[in-house]
Amino acid sequence: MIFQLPNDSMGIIIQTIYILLFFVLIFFGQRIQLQLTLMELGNMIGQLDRMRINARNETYGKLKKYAKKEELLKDIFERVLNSFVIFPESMDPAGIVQKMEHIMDTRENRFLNDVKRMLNNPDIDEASLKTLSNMVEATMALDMLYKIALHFYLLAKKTGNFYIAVQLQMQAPLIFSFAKAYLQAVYAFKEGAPVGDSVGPLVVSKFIEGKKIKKHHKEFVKDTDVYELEHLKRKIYVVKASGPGGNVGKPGEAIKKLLEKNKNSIKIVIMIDAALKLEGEKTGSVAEGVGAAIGGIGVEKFKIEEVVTKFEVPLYAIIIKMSLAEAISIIKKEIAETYEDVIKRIERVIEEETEEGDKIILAGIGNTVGVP
Amino acid sequence: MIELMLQLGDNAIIDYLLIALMILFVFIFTFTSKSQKSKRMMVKKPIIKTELICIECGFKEIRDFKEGDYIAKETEETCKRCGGKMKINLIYSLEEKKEKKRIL
Repeated sequence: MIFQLPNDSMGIIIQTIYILLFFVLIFFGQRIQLQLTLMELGNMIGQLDRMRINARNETYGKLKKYAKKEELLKDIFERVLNSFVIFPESMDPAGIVQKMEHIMDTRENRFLNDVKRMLNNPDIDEASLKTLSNMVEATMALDMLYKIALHFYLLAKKTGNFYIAVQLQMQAPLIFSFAKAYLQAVYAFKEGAPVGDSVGPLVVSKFIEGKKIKKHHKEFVKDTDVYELEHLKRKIYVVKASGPGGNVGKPGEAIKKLLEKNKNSIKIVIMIDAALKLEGEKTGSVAEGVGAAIGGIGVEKFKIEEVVTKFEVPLYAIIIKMSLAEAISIIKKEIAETYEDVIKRIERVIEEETEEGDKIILAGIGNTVGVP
Repeated sequence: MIELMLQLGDNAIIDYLLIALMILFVFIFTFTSKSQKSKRMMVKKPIIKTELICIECGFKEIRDFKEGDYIAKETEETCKRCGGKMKINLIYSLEEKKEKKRIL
């Protein structure tokens, strides 16, 4: 019979080991598991740290190319990486959108001025400056992710709490996918190449390409351009962030201003944006729907929803699906090549939902890095 | 082999053999799961390509991305077919596993 212990001294030793193991696992099982989990988490933290240092070095190296004084760069870079935003109190939610917008505008201005100060270079163009500030933002996000993961790791180690360690272990794949995405974003902004999220501006940029632009309202609202053109015998207002620097603009504000300016003459608003796909969905698949296709903290979305409701304008959305990592890393071929399909869909929606002579707003939502 | 051992009446050898197999299995499992994890953690530098299009004849050409490239930018390159001006049609990253460099 297999595993029948022989009645010699070896058998007694093996039996003793089994009994010992049994008691060790009963009394110290969780501690052993904790140590194993902490070991695995330690490796993860180490890898996150390497990614964070890599992102810092890439960003610092890029900034150094433009900076006039390295000491100044070093000081402000560290300060900016540790900066934070305190979101407004939401116990009384009335007016929170305006408060949020104000805080985010302040943060954006402060951030951009800090990048200007650390470079101390008056010759740098606005597009490069914005792309560099995007790069610093991605580095900050990765830094923050590392700090949070490290916090829970050290807390689990300090308290010897198995469940804190397990919670972090369960989140590890997600933390990693975010960290990888942010590191890829650093590379994308370093090169100034379009990212997956740029597909919205890319589509509208391709839409206006080769067409006669009647008017180009540069900086129609902050960091956002509006192009006026005639197509399919309709008047189309194309809204997109000012490129080719890394910038998302204020499309909500632009749509609001256009609708208020044109009172009841706008027939439809079409929004084009990148959207998160579900696992199993194909990258670059296109879908149509209704509603405000726009991400972010919700300020721009709120403005669009409010103004289209006020003027009773139908809001259509066309989305291009991708994962979070794909949205913030350099645009993939299968995503970039969807623009032809999306333009065909835009034209179909225009023909189906409007008549000749109508006015339409077409908004390309997303970061316009690498797209003029 | 096992039958032979059973005939010999030496069950202990089979026990040790099974224990050794179990240890080997644990090692293999640990090693493969670790290598799979490190594969998941791998971050690769992207390969970026710029697709140029001739403004005159529509001839397309793909080259490596250069710093300063952006979509719709008119470049210094000329069309290989008609000598016309080229502009950037698309910029994208490719997923060619062999070409990717592991950096972490």
